[in-house]
Amino acid sequence: MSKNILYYVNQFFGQIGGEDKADIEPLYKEEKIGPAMAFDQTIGDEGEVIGTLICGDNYFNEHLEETLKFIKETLDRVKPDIIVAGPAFNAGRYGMACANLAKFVEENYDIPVVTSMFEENPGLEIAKKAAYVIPAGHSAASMRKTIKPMSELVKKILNGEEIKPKTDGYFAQGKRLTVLVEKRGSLRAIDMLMKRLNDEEFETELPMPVFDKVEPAEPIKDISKATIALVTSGGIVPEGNPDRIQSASAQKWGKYDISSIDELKGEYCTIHGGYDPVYANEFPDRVAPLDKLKELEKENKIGKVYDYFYTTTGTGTSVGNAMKFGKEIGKELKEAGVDGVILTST
Amino acid sequence: MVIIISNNRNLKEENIFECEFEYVDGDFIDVLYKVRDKVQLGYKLISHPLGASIRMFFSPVKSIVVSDNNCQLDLRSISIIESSIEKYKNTMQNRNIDYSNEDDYEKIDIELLKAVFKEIKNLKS
Amino acid sequence: MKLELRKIKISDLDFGNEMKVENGKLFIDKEKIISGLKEIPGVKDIKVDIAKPGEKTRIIPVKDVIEPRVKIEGKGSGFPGVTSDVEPCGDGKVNVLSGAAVVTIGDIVGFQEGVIDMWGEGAKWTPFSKTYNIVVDISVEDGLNPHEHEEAVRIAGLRASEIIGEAGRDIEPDEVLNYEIGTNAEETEKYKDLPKIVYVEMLISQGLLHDGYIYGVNSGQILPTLIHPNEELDNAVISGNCVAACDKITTYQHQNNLVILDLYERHGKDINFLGVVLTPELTTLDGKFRTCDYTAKLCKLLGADGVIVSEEGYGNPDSDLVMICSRLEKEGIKTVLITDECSGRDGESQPLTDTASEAVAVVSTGNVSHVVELEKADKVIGDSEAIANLAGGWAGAYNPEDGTMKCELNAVIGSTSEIGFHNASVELY
Repeated sequence: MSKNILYYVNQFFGQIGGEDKADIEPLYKEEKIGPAMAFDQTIGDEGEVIGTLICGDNYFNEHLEETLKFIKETLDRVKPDIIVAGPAFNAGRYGMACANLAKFVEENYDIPVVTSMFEENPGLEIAKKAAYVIPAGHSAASMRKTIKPMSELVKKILNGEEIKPKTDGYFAQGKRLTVLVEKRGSLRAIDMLMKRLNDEEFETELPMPVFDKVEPAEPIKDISKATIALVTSGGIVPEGNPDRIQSASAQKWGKYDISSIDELKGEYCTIHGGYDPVYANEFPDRVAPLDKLKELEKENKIGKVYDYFYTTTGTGTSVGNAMKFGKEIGKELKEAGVDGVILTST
Repeated sequence: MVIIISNNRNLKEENIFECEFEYVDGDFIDVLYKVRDKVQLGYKLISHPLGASIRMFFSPVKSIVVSDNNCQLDLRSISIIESSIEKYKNTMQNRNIDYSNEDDYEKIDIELLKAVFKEIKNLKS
Repeated sequence: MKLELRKIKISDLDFGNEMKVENGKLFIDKEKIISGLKEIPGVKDIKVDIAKPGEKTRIIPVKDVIEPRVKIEGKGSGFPGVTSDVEPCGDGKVNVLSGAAVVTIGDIVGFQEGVIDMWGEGAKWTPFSKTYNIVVDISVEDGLNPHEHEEAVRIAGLRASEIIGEAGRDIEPDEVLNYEIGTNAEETEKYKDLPKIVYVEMLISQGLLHDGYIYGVNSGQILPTLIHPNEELDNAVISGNCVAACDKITTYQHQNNLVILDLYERHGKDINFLGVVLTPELTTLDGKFRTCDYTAKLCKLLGADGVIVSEEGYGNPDSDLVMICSRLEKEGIKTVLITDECSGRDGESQPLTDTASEAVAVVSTGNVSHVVELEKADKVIGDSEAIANLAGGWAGAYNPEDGTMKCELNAVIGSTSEIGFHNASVELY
């Protein structure tokens, strides 16, 4: 029996428009649009795309609750057997949309999700835990090459076959499952040792975690002449959050002129979704201590507080995005001749 | 001089070891937190905060030995107590603390402490 | 050293009027075991039962498993330094009732677990569902302190294996296996071109219920020490560890240590097996540093090219494991670790409590938090309260309607054996 497939794409692949249409609200069409059409052709008799769900990338990420509500209504109505999203290639917001869709479905439904994105897409971290994510190329040029393994995987899932990241080519979800294998542990250990001694390739069964270590910079020679910038991942933003920085899983950072104020109190608040905001809203300098820095500046203990304050939200933010933000902010600070940074978390 | 940080009620009643004793009115995790506080103040870990088997993670009772305050941060102790807390929480995420055998865990806790003190004797005398 | 292990294959088990082996069937004289064990100070009562592979029988809470044997030639009968006078182990002839096992049960403290299911899903996860088990239930006199209690139970198990082992004294073995390795100088002369391998076996050495013994010496009292592999195969090392059901090394697993046996298999072919270093896992940090330094030094002194390190337990011994590895790798000695892991019910947590970047080659013998479902048993040998311990670990673990229960591997004897005695592993999904 043919199974029902729901397909998700963004405004661009949904053939609505480019960046100017990134704000469109989610909509559902009982048609096969864009990649959904190509996918439907490869899947054959085993499944059929019954409709395409489309949402603007910005809208999805900035109106998560409303978007998920629409998705829920759609799922409850059309009751798909499986959901396919993307491929999102290296498009960060599209990747995050696919990831958030997968996460929502995983938490609330018993429906598998298959998606695809480039290995550096910031959405991958969340998506791979909630969905089966096939690696995609950097850009849409690799569409055809990506659709095929996606549909192979979907076929296997629909047929109830066992799937493994190694054999079926999706990113490992990070679950370490206990299995009984043919060779006992003592023999596996000796085999591994012999491979090492013979300089052959071997594969550890328990990879050690890799920590990203940052070498500390040289100390500032004369702090009384240094320009110090204030940066936080504590979600401190001007009242009203003019740039709509997300309260979790941040997609962007903000930069605000603080040259004319002595403290953040009164003009700033927190939008961070990961802690009780009462004390931070009462006195945001508790999270990002501009008040103390300005005091030090007045006492000539530091040279100058840099004119701009940088901020984002740390909670749930993907490592990929955090690295991207760090590089972007670091570049600006370096170009501005900043000597040191006070970086606060929560 | 060493100090036992512990929530073992038997030891609270009678500390059979010749050293200081600090009682923690709480669970295993609270003992870990107390030790973390101590370590941040310059005390050094003498015994490892975790047991040697998964079963001992379920114990409601725990005693950990730290050194007297030498007013110098011991980075190794900090990293061990921090990772122990994280590991304890992970391991216990779906498990209940085995309160029903609390009396026996208290006994074994004291026996394991005896082994710690035997080792300490071997180390510095 | 030259050791002949003469295997008498046991393929059936029953009670009988005398202890004997007939055509592979072992007959158990219950009274002989009971009267023999009652001579042990502190032992009050002994019950003996049997469990065969495939029966719907559950044994709980298991203290130790021991292989019944008898030494028919050479020095050192029984367990020298423990049940008999001190003599060197490792030379001579031993008749082994292969396929049979003494399983001891009996409460020392209330929180013990350790289940062997002889059938179904549970049987898959323990190597001792395939052995013909003589289950010895030991109760002790009132008023013993915990140390005396533990010792009485431990000695009773060892004695039982000797009493039963006597049945094999005059039986022709089905298979004779020879284990011979000479001095390091001789072997290195013979196998000049083969890589030299040392096996480091770590032993929990942390106090009551957390001990191991070498010739009767508590392993917590030693510096790491070198032994000939034959000594361990010939009863020199026993278990006094009663809490880490899934990853403790039972006495049976010392007698049949598969890292040793599998290395022996390769000796003279593609490796030169230099010996076994027994390393205590201590409780103090300074103690750990000292034993880890010492272990690496012994391997280096022996001239090892490669080392296999096996852990016992989980938690603080993870630190010893990775520290030994770091020290060996820094000496240029290629090292493979065998450990189990606790990566949480969902398998998504950090597997070990300590890590080292040098630990590049690790064999995982399973996640101790992995949940298996056990069916209702027709017969339970042992203590139903211990089952409550198993079932009471978390909400929903026990289904009163059909008697099934969910249990983590940590409760199953030998399921994640870190000497690689079983077939569990971990795959990344």
